Amino acid sequence: MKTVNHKCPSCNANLNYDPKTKGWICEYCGGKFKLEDLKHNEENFKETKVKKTEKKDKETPIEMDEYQCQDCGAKIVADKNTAATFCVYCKNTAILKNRLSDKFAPSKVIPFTKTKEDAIEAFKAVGKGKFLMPKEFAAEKNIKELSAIYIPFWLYSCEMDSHIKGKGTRVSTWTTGNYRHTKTDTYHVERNAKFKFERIPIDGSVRFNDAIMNSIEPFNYDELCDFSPSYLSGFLAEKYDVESEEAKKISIERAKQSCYKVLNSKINYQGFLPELKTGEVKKEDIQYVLLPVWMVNIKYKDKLYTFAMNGQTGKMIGDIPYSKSKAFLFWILIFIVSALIIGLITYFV
Amino acid sequence: MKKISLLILTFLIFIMPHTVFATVNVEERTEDDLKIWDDIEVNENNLDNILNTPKVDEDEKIYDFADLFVEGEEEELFNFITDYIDEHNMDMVVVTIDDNNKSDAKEYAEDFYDYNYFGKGKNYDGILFLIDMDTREIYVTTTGNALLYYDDARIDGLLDAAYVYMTSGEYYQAAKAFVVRAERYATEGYSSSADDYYIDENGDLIEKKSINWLLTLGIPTALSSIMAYIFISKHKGIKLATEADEYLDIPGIQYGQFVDNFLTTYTSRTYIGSSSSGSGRSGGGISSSRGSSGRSHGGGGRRF
Repeated sequence: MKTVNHKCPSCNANLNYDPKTKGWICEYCGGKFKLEDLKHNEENFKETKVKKTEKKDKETPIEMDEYQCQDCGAKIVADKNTAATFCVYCKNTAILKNRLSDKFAPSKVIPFTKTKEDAIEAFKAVGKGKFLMPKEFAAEKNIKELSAIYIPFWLYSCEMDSHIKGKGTRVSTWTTGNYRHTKTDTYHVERNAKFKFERIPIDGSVRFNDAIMNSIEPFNYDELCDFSPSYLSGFLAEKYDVESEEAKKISIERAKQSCYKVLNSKINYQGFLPELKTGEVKKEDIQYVLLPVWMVNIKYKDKLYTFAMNGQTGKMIGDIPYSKSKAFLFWILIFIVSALIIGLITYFV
Repeated sequence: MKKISLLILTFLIFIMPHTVFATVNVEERTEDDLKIWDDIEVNENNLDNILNTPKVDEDEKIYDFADLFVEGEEEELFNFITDYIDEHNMDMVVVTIDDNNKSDAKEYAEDFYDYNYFGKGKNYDGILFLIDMDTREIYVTTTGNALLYYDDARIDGLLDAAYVYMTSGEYYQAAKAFVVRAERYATEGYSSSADDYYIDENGDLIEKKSINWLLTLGIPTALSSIMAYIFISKHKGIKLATEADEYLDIPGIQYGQFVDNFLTTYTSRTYIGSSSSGSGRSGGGISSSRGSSGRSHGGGGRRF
């Protein structure tokens, strides 16, 4: 087992990725580096053989692996999905290379552009326009844990032939004498089209809630770079544990719904009863990438809240609690104001 | 000669009751002595109206200027009317004219009532039925408390009752039908519309102001609940994606052939009832207007 670390090419100190400059800065000698500067260095990583002891603890079913920190020699314990972590003793980044190689080698990565400070500011602003939120909720002191994680994503692209078949009805009414006539014409309706979907992101990690990951979409794919482990220095990273086949299924289902929506918009009938809906994949492609996410764990009044920020665009989402007393006051206020208005109207009209 | 004089005599005897009783005793009105209720304000606008209204003996109750009733009929009608007045403490007047010197039946009826000493109580409660042979209209006018007894629907009922006989020329029957129907309504009590109105100290009809509690409480309950729901649902930021609209290349969509094949048609027919034109009056309620005297009157008329 080997862990990789990123050393400053000039002073050999630890090097972390800096989202602001989109490069690497050495905290000791102040040296700034680009990816090319490190590439050469990467080849010369000392590969430390670490005895891998798979702890099969009967009480804890989670499979934990042990690694040795390259810097201080301490043992690093990581669960089976961790690809990059920190040594608890010397705080240096440990990148677990075998978790990023072979079938786990990501093809691309979007580096972080948002810093810890950005995440804190974004959290403090979640209450904007949400006047039912308890006042103290969006305070920095409630942030229990803040972590920058490269989350494994599958990017699924495909071409899809979608087809909708059914019965459409057109209704017209007119009156003659004392009778109203209602004419219903029924048509056999078919719509089909070829659709192209580009890189639907599917969360590749079971540990992270799919809905949260959906909610911080979209990412700007223009900033996808070829993967290099150097991007991971200073961050946590995971490897996927959702297989690509599973991700495909989810993406196809999402794609189908979009196709149906478009085709339905082309059915101009008063009534439509679908008989057949299909979405057939013609050409597909799946890519494994790491995308940057800030996970923000909030503890407020003994309850835990999970917020997440898109590490590239800064979109912060989460379920914001509302104050019951504020909601009640709001309800009462609207009630009183509208009751007064309506009461006066019914009194005078 | 004797035969002829006998014939003339029998003829005279035969027609005398009609001519004698058909005459209405009318007093003279002058500008110095208008002979009207003290509380009516006289001004240049209504002076002519007053002077053009015959001053009659208010106890006769039946004023057959058009000479439509015969003696026995008038007596019978008079008995009905006095019973009504005693029973309900409202005045009742029946007038027939063949020359209307006012602009319409309504104005004649109201002026006739206001500029004679008709009416019971401080608001001159009472009802008047006019058969106007000149404009060919029957008109009912109500004053004071009578407005609460005779709402628009009941006025229509009174006109309905009289109208049937008007078309066939049975004028006495028409007047009698009016009196009988008016008596029936008064016995039934205030009209269903009366709850929404009251007569103020000037005899004017005032609509009671009331709050519609169902609307006043119902709409705000729904509104504030919907608003609270909308605002609270905005707090939920985590949603599972079910579609992939954002990743769809919209300009790249290639549509195939659209199929719209006509299959069947079906026409159904529903009876919706005759679209007869309703009367101008809206259901429910009491309408009132002010006459030249300044008093409020209800009522309505119908042409025959």
